[in-house]
Amino acid sequence: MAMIELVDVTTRFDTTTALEGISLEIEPGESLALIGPNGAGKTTILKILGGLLMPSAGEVRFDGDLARGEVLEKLRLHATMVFQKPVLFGTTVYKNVAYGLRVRGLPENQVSERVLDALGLVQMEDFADRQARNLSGGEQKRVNLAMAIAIDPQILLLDEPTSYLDALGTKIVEGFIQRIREERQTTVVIATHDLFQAVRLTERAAVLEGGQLCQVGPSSQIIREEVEALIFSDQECNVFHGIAKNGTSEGERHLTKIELGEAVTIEALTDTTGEVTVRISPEDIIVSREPVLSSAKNTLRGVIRAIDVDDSIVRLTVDVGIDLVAIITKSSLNLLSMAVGDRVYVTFKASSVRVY
Amino acid sequence: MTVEEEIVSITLRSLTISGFAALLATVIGLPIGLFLGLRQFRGRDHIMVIVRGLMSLPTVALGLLLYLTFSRNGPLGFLQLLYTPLALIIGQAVLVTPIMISITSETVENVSPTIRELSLTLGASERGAAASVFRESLGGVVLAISASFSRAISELGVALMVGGNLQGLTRVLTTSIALETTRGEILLGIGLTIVLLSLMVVFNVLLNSAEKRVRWWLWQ
Repeated sequence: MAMIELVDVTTRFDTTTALEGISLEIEPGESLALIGPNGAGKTTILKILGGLLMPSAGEVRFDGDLARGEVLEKLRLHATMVFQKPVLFGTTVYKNVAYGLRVRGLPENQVSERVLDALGLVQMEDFADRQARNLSGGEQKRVNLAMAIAIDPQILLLDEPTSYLDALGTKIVEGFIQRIREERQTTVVIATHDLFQAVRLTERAAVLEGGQLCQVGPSSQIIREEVEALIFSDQECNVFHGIAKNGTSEGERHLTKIELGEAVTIEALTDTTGEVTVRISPEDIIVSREPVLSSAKNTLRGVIRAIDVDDSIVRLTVDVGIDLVAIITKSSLNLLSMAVGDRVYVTFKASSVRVY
Repeated sequence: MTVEEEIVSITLRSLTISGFAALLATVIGLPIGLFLGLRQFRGRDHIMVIVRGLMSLPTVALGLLLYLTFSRNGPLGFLQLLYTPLALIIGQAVLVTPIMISITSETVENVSPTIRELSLTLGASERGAAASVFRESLGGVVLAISASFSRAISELGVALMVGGNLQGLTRVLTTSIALETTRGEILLGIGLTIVLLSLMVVFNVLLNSAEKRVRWWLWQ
């Protein structure tokens, strides 16, 4: 029997339909990714799964029972959501994490033990006495995760769990999610628009678009199809297939060389080896006339093949052995006086390379 | 009675009358503000527009309305409240209750959706979630109390029209300042003004200190 079941769920906000006819079953212990662009309805589904939002039409069932009244309260006790934007009470980190435990009436010695345990899982043991709202966005996000995991929920609902996090924070949180799945068999539902994260963290994926469920299936298969679709569409760029070789460790970072075709090798932060697909965000690429002295691991020389101007934004296509697209401002284009055929350097960080 | 004794007496009377007015406004306005901040219902926006409009009600206009209400031939004339401290308390409370409602509801409305959802998803009941929202809105509630008391103690129109500035009975700091200034006792007027401003500063400092203690206590 499914742990949570959505049956033909429709949700409307005023005149907008956020979800339409969604039917989805979530089994105990499984991990599911909700994938889709902004506004697809991912957060709305998570809120319905967590009992925070009632659908306008359709049914939500928890352990087979209709989620209303006492069953709804039971669902809220067992399903915990971590919101995309960190939300914290105006008190210390310790009291924030202790909130859910105190609500459940646990004795203080157990509260203390579980709070410190949860903070340890997100590597924030030393932050217990700090004012939660004075922390950075990434730290606040980790506190939110600790608040959720402290109460040991059956179902963990994560809305963009690594937004606000840098590369190290992302690694910590992804490791934490994998660990609680393995150790506690927690059911995890993750809303993300990061296809690569979805395949790293989940077994099953559901693709949403415009409030409708387009596809449900194994993550690896769904994501492969999505990535292939992106490669052959104009919507996405800088997605390449390559071979990742054993890398070197720099502190907590693991630098890996990835060969993209015969002529191009880049470095990325990943533990994955073998055949991979990579994506380099066009916004993260710096274009310059001369090599840039910086900490970025990747600097490639190439020739400008195309310049597409769209209002104040310019898409530069640079042939570095592969066609890399960089987005710069119109004023930068004018400042550097770049034209098609010019030789330029492109620079990007290893952390800007997403590896799948 | 010496001038010093008179000043102390007027100051204490001002504090008492405006303190009770702010207290009355809090008792009435806080639950209404919480309700308006937490609940969405048909007509809520219209109520908010009216409440916000009442925040800027001219004190003289309110004073006149209350004078007509409390005067011998008015609907509440039988209570014989005109020119009594109680009339002043009621008048000032009517004046500042919209401030209390408006600031409280605005704060709660801003805090409510996220804190309510956070509390619910961590297992709190609806009542527990509402308590969390109130706790997180405490700064706004304190601001509302502070603004209400400050407006009450510094207003003149209501105090003059329903209090009558009777010596030893309804003479408060603002009416005294106005009286002494028209009499040409400028120095005394300035002294009373300094007392009034000092009271407002001290009250706000004490209120902020109390907020920290209450917040700490609410988290225990």
